[in-house]
Amino acid sequence: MNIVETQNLTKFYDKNKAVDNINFFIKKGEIFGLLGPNGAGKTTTVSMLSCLIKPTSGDATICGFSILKDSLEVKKRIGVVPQEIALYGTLSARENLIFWGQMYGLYGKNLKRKVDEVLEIVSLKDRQNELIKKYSGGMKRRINIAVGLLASPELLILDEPTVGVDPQSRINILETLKNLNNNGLTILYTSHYMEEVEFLCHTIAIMDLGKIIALGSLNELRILVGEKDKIIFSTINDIKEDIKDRVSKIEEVDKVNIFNKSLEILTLKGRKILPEVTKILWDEGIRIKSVEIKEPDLETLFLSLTGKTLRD
Amino acid sequence: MKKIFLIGFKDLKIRSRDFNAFIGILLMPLILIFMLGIVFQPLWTSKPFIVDTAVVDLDNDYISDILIKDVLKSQELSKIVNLVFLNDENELRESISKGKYAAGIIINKDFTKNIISGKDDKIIILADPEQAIKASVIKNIVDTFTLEVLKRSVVIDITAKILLKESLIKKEDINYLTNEWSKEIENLKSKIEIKFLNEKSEESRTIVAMDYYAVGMGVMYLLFAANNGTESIFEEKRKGTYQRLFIMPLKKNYIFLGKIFGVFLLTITQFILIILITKFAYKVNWGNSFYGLVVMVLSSVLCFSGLSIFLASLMKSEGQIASIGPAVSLILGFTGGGMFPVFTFPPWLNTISKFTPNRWAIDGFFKLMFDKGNLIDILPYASILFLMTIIFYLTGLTIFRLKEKRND
Repeated sequence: MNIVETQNLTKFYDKNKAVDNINFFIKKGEIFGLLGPNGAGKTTTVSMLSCLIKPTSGDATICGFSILKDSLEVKKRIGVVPQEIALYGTLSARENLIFWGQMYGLYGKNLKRKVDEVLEIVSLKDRQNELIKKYSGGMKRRINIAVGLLASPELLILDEPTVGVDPQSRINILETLKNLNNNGLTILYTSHYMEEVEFLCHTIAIMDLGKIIALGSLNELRILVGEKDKIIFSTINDIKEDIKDRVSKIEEVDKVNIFNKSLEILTLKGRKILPEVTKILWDEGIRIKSVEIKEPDLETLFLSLTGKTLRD
Repeated sequence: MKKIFLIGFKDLKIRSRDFNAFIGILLMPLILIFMLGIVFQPLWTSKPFIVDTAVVDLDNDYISDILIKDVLKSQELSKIVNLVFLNDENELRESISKGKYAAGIIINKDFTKNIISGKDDKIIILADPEQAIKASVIKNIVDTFTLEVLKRSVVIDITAKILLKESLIKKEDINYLTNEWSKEIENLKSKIEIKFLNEKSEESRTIVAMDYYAVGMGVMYLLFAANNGTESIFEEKRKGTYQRLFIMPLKKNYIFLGKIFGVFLLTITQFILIILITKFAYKVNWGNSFYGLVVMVLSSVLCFSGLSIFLASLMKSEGQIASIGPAVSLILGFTGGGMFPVFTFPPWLNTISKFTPNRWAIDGFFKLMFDKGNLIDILPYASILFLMTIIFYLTGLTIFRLKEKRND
């Protein structure tokens, strides 16, 4: 059974196409990842599915209800965790949860029970009476997620929930989401962190410039990259742009990217081209600090498909 | 519906924990009321408002006679204008500089003749800078008088010229006729209407500075409080909580109505606290009509909440409200008579002040406080405030809706 189905979902901002005719579905019980760099259209997609903004054309159904025609029914069935920490700083964590619970239509004992439950899930019950403004970034993120869980949603939508979070809190958040999914919760997760999506998601859609450029499970996407390796040369001095042309001319090289003191090459024969690239850099007077050959991953796939990295 | 109230009460709870808001919308007006009440008490005094005025009448003709005998010494004005006659202009200047008189009037020699014959002339008003408010009363009276004289003399002059030009009258008859017409000026005393707040009825109370500023500042700070509330709309938009509200399963209108209810709650709480604190701590007399006071508070709070929503609809950020809002509050506070009583205003400013909600709110509260007014007496003031409320809300909400449609 599909929890989410989109049909040619499109959003224009004036003449700019933020989301361009995208189609995907999310099966019940899966974690679906939307991966892409900033500006790829992930947040716009999530905003449309959350009924926050209207699509310019196309539609989507969540639990069988149209985001255009039955937005109130859709909202009753989803929990949304926005990118911003959308909480009231001068209210305590518990007061925040009570308020947002009331907005979901929870009152009395039911509300109290649900607030206690989500506080347990995010492991912040012992700090529930502290003001949000006194919380660390990671704790705020956890309460931000807790709000999304208040309504016992059928679908939890998270828009880059780990931005600005320390590594320990990030692991905690990801583990929490895994556990929730193990208990049957369907999750739509957006991120520009490849590792998070690889760790969490059963199905991954890679977005760029408003379009889905690849869609499938992690293994299916890896097959798309084929046997390509990513070689990263780290250098002591800056690399000039004209080196990109020289390296691109090597027969086996697929894509080349330069970031100040780093040269990233996507190639079928990583080890074979190493001497040639080293010579080019040497000729240009560039001193190599280290060389790394990486196995195919989503980052490699993104580079292969767009010529850009997820950091762009 | 319940969610509208929950949003409003949440906003009130948040603002109640904001120390800056507490200082800005509660502590500041209370301090100002206290300071202005203490400092300006001598201007109002517990005695009737008397303006000591000296006159040097070098004209001694009938226009100056009208001004002195029929206007300044009229039954109404003699209650507040204490007139003293001097013979010498220098003596008058010296007395004014010593603060002996609040105002001085010098009517030049041949003033009447000059005006009748169409020549330029003027009445000089001298003011003691330390009694500027009192002197401005005299200036307004004389301004109104001279304006009326001027209007009539211009009409007479033009009419005479037309009659002569068209040969409808002989030249030798014109002097007789203009003299006759000029006597009509005597009737103008009935045209001069100057009302004083403390000349209404036998039962009226004398204005006490603390009472006056409790109303003036209390009303002026209503907009400060309301703006503080509307700032939260932009603050929530910036922090993302407003967008999160839109993701919740509730009608879009409820969110905005909830925010408006929050503004109303904050403003009414602030005003009630000001009334209670000034009543018990400063002994301000808010009148004897409880229902009158309730209606005035409600109509004022609704009106200023509406004005704040209207202002917010024109702005783009909380920063703009924070900078423009106080300026608007101060301008309205001044023009509405919250800083200086409206009877000290020149006629044009008096007319402008009638377009401000402050004026109607202040007049309504004064009716309760100083004229022993009741619910019926304040209904005209409350009605105008309710009318303004409707205009502000309708305009503000329409602009907000248009903006949201554009952003959709």
